[in-house]
Amino acid sequence: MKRVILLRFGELYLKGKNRNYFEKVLISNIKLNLKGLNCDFYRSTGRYIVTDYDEMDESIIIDKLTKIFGLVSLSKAVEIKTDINDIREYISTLKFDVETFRVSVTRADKNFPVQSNIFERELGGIILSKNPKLKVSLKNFDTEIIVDIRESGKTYILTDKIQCAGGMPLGTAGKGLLLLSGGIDSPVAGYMMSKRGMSIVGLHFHSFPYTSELAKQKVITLAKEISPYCGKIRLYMCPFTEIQEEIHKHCAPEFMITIMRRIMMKIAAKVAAMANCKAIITGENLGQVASQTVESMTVTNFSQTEVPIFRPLIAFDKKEIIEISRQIGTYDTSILPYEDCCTVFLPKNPVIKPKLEKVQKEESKLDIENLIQTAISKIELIEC
Amino acid sequence: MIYLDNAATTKPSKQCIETYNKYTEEFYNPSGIYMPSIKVKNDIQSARQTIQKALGATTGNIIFTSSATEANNLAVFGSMRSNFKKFVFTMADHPSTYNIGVELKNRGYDVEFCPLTQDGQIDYNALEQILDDKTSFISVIHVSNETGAINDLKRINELRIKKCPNAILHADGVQAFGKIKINLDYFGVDLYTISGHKMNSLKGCACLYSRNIILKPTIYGGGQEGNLRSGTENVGAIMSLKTAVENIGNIKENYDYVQNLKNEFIKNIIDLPCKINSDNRCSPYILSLTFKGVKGETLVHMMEQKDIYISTGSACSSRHTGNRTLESMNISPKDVIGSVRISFSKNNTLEEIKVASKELAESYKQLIKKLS
Repeated sequence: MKRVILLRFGELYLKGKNRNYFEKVLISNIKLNLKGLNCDFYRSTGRYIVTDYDEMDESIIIDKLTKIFGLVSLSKAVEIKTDINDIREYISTLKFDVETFRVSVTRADKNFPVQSNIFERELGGIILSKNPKLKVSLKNFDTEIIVDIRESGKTYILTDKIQCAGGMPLGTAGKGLLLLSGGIDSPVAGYMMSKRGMSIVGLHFHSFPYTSELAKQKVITLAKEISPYCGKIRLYMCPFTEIQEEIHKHCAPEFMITIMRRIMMKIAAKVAAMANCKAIITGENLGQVASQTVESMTVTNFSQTEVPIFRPLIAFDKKEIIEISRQIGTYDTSILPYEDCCTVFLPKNPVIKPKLEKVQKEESKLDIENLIQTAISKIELIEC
Repeated sequence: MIYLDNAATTKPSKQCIETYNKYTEEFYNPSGIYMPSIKVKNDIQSARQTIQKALGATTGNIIFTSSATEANNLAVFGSMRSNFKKFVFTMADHPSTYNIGVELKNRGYDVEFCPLTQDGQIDYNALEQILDDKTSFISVIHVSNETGAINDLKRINELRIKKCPNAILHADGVQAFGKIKINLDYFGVDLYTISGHKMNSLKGCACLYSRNIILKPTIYGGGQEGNLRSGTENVGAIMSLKTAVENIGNIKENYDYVQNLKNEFIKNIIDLPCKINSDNRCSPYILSLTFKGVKGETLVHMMEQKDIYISTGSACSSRHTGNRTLESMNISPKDVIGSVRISFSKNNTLEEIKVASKELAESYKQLIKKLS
């Protein structure tokens, strides 16, 4: 008898002829994540199995696996040689701290002497005799004991199903450039896109000396915090101080944020080209702040046309974003009170429904191309 | 590099580092019963005596802790008894005592925070009103870590004797020890906290002086430090603190020297729209300034670009917005944001102060121009 972890994948089934490609990427991601941990990983008739690991490492392995996109769930299991008495004996040792259970037997090995439904009842009886307070419930059960009798001569006995991250294998949907501000939303946006298979490259704008080095460090921490899901992230750090000072000096204050965001997008489009990213990802969310009205976003969209902007959080409530942020472990970092560049030179009354022509007229007071070139030339690259 | 954030921490002196290194060789556990251990234990004992003498305390004992925060916690929670009713803290207290007050309040105790006057000192009249026969414990900061305001411990003790003679009096002397003249016998305080890394020693060692207060441990274990602070002693840092105390030099001379540095700094920024929160009765080691129309944080970063290090406020509370001490001195929250703290050391030179003060004035002028 040995302990194993059984992995299940989801949408890959839908991928028809491309399934092999998706599966190959998923396997490589699993192997990469389990690197450094002493364990074996193999594929066996429609499922993946992690085995031969130190019991003490089990929780670490499971934690890593639950963060791999493409896996929908996993189960801790024991693998035993198919033998009716061995199965009975193992089942009799199980202990429960729940109220109701059911037993499900699947019998791919048709040579096994007892039919599935009969064996289910027998094993249920064994469990009841050892745990008299337990009750059988076939529909609303607290726990399900699955006995999976395989053709390979091995039987797997599983008790709990642990949810994994779901989605598509990371790296199967190209690369996206995530604008990481340091707030709650952007890391969640990156997570959401990675869930659909997109690899992430980060871009952060900083405004030293108006913002602190701590604000930069915070963004690096956030990039590291999402990396168990999104993979290791290359982070471009773009200085934005001079641009903000120039906007402040030359343009009407109410357009500060709008112009800032348009210039950020122009820079992002150039960085995306440099980093081979096919999309720009932002944490924008309709109606959250003045710059996130449909009019503001439209004006921002028109700043460049080369790269599409993905806004995976557009229709989320803040509460829902916070929930994901907590779940993926970025929330506590995101709320650290360091100023980000968007709060510097904040106008009292930012324009909520900007008109493109007016914004362009204001922008024409700036030597935008030159400002962008200078900023890009000073970009710093950090491997998180 | 010009370092003017000495209230946050100080550069360890060569002598302190040498002492520390010596005890990496003499690494023995002071609890051992063989000779090298006994020698180390005796060394710690000698450090205790040196520190107690420097504090001007003829009786009592010294308990080494890992930090002043821990010492402050030991002072309050270690002396607490079931009949304790009322605790008095001050609005100038460092977070490591102030937040104990907040916690005690949350636990349902009667806790009062003594207000400050506009010069940052404790409002003694208010304190007299607050103290009553129910008061069991009083904690005050000796020198404010934000403004350098010096509280008159002797006067506070007299109020204690008058209003609540049974109350315990604790003072946090982290910014005072080694910088202003201290005589705990004269002040009459029961408990006093000091910290090594604020006086050119190493981080990881502080201590609580206790006159005749029966303390209970807050950390349990092997019974070190008279069973009041279990855990293997940080011998190197303890002995470095002893070295630091031995190297304080002449307090009066140092005081005058640093006062001269502070005056020079003020001279070079006096023409700017800036309020000086540390008047000439304050410790010269700390200078708090509130500039109009800018954020202190931006000034700190502009100075950082010039390799000059100052701070927006106490390092232990810089993660939070606002500044309780300054706001208690009647400075509006809107203005508080423009505050910076410059904190000197006897090792700063006049030349450094000339450069730093001129650069701060220049940074302010540049910034206000960009923001206008």
